[in-house]
Amino acid sequence: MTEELGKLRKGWKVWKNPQGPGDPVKYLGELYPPESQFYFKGSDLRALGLDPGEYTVLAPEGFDNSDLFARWQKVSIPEC
Amino acid sequence: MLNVRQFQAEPSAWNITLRERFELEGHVRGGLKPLDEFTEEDRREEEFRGQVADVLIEHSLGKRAARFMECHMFGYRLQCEGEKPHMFFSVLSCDLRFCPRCGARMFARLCEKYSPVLSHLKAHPRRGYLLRELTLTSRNTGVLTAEQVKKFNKDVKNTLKALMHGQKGWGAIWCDEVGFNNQNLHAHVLFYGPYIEQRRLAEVWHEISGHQVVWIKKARTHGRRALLYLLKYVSKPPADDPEFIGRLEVAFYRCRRVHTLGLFYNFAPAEAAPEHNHLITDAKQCPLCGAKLRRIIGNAPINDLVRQGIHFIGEYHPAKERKSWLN
Repeated sequence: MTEELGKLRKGWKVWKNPQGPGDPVKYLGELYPPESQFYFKGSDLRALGLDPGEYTVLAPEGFDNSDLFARWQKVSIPEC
Repeated sequence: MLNVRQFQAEPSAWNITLRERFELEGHVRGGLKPLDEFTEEDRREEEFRGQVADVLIEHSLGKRAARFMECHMFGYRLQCEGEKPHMFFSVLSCDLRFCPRCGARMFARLCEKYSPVLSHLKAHPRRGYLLRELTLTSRNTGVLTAEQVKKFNKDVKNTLKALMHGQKGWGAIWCDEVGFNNQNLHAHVLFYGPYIEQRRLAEVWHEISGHQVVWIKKARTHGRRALLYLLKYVSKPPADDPEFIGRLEVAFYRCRRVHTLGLFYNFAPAEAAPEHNHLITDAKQCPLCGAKLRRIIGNAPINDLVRQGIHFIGEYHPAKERKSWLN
């Protein structure tokens, strides 16, 4: 990763999606993608110890209206 | 549905804005579309709605912001009481005055409500009375507040009442409008009554409101179509700038855009007008068997309803009728 791109590596806010209608959305905190990248894939979240399921992630400030990423993204960790 | 009070605590704990909290709820509960199927257009709409919501939140209108954000994301089930229990869903709309999605719906409702007046006038014309289109304008001060809007409507009402003092059988309906992306507040009035000179109208308007510019002309058409010309302003938002739309929503908070006087006010037709029934926006009859429809309590994300194989009731409106609501 170049130094320029390295600057883009910031914390993404991550929420676990609710399992059903009464289940609340759970905030998991601000997580950092692996050092070689500045976005999340399902395998990255799994490597951080998260369970299989669906997660919603919010891109860090500065990524707003970016052509690179949508602000909100859904990331899934499939069952093994 | 969004619980605004609960939501107001979470954003500070999570270090996000209230707008982002509303967006998150839409994504995790499933709105019109799952997040991973979002197109550029969906993202643009979300951004647009988010910017409008930001202005509403800034003016302590969090509940309205939530309604605007969740417009058309949730629906409710309708079950028919016929032999075969057909199931449909209808969408929950925000019905905010300048929502691009709800404009056509409001237009249809207003047409349905006021068309009988025009049919009545056509069937029972009064000697010397005509339909006219008036425009009453105000000075553009560069800002628009609820107080201004309220005073403006009071001035329109007092002007028409002063002009029609002692007259019977007259009526008016007007719609507040602003210029495209500017605060040039004016009223388009559909007026039924005796002849008024432009000079007299301008004098009275100036005396009551302090503003000067007025226009008057014979209505382009008679009957229902004259009403459609007037109400077209409700069917589309007067701006493409989300911040401006937000400011308009704030200015028109608790202020109606469409007002009536005289014959148009609380009009009760002598006979039903079945020709207007197709304009009813909330379906009351099963489109498949004609039986009565019953609303099932509880709302669900539209995505879930579609996944359950339930069809949107709007699919059963003939396309031509649906288009005829739009202008």
